[in-house]
Amino acid sequence: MGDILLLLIVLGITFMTGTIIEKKHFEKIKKREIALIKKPIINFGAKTWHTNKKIKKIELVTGECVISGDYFKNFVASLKSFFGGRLTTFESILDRGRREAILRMREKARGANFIINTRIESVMVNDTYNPQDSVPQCAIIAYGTAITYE
Amino acid sequence: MNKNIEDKYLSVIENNINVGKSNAGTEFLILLAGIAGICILLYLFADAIGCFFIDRMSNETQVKIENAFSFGTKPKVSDKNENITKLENIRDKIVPLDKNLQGKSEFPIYEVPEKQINAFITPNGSIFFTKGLLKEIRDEEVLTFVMAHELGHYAHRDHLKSMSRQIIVALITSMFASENKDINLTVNSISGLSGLTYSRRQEKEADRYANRTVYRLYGNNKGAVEFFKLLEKKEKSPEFLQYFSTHPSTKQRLHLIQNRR
Amino acid sequence: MILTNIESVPGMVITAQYGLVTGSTVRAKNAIKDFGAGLKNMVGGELKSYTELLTEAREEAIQRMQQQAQMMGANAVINVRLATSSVTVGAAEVYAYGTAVKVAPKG
Repeated sequence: MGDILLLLIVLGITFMTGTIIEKKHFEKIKKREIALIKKPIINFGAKTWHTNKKIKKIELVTGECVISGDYFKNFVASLKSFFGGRLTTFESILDRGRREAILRMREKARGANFIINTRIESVMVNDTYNPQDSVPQCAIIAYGTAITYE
Repeated sequence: MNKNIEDKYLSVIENNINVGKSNAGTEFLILLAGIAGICILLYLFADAIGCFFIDRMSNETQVKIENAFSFGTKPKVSDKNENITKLENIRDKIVPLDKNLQGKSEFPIYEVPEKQINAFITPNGSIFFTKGLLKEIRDEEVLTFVMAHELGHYAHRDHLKSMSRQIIVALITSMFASENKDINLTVNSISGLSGLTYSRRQEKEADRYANRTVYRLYGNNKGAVEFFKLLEKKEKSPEFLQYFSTHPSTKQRLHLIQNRR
Repeated sequence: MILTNIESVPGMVITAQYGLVTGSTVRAKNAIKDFGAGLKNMVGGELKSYTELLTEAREEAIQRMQQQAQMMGANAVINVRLATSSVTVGAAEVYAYGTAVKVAPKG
């Protein structure tokens, strides 16, 4: 019976720490997004993107983030995948990761007027040999072309 | 105009559509309850099937299965002594009372050199008493109760029932949950707890059986009461721990057999 | 709402751009369907339950993206891209993103 108690204790601790970390992270993301609100990224094809203004600088900007869920979230997700349906706990993890990566990209292009043709790629960096034993870790990379007018 | 768009962006940031709106904690509790429900249903199902077949099984099949399961290491036992002859006499008194016990096993009796108070019966009918128990308990009526309790397990085919239940549960869970270690962990914990419920029920049945036997032999259940009073003195674990153990609490067992025929 | 995966809406002009809108979801099928898919792997062929899972996830991701665009006041999302990744065994993640714009008929 000791292992049940241990499991419950680990779940309880990771639930609390995970909730606190996630809440703080979301607050930080919101703050940074509000700070960047005047600079929309335009995911726009380069072929038709043209302007009459003079361009000072063209630059490729990227942002990366690797994120993983806590023990409790993974546990809930595996329980949920037994019944099927939406895995909400993973959604929040991936959302945090994506927004973080996009924010980092946008922050690098602080002086730019536009970021065009943004692409977002994600890859799981788990142990691929035994995926059921490893914690999902998601690597996200966002990239685009930053354009600054003269 | 510009201000308007900024407000719209703010509402997008605040709303956070990409994350489902549910609390992970409550979701966890609901899922756990769901899995517990499935586990309990599974156990009920496995128990019903196991009991159905095992209660209808003939004595010959029982002996055959038991002999097939009697491999493995035997605990270290000491040689024959006067304690064992005493126990053998008691055994010979109990066996003729129940035709479920006759014509199956010889019920050999062994003494295990261990300190704690315990007695157990293996699937093929060998009965083991620890040295600690024989040292502590001298009274024949008390020993009769302990012996009848173990023989009660055998007469009810408790070993076969718990084995068949575990096999059926393991079969079904391995089909659906084998690839997911968290599910396995949860299912094992919950089915461990519900398995203990069945174990406690079997112990109660064996107690009742032993109580009846003692009544038939001596006309009272002084031995049984004395045995539990002794156990109560020895153990100091709190009452609620019974939900995590194979036996009901001593208090409950005592209550069960007091004023009962 | 108009969705395209090219850089414009043919026959229309873009009057306003609102920036990136995203939608993502992670979904899983229940254990019985996972088991059935495992059996189906023996003989091969289409895994209907997983196709269904992917369809559901894609629909939900696109719907969430559209919701964001609607909040911004857009009436079209152009240059839509879909990305998937495998989060755990038996779960599908679909991520949809595009540019929210306002379009008006030409002329």
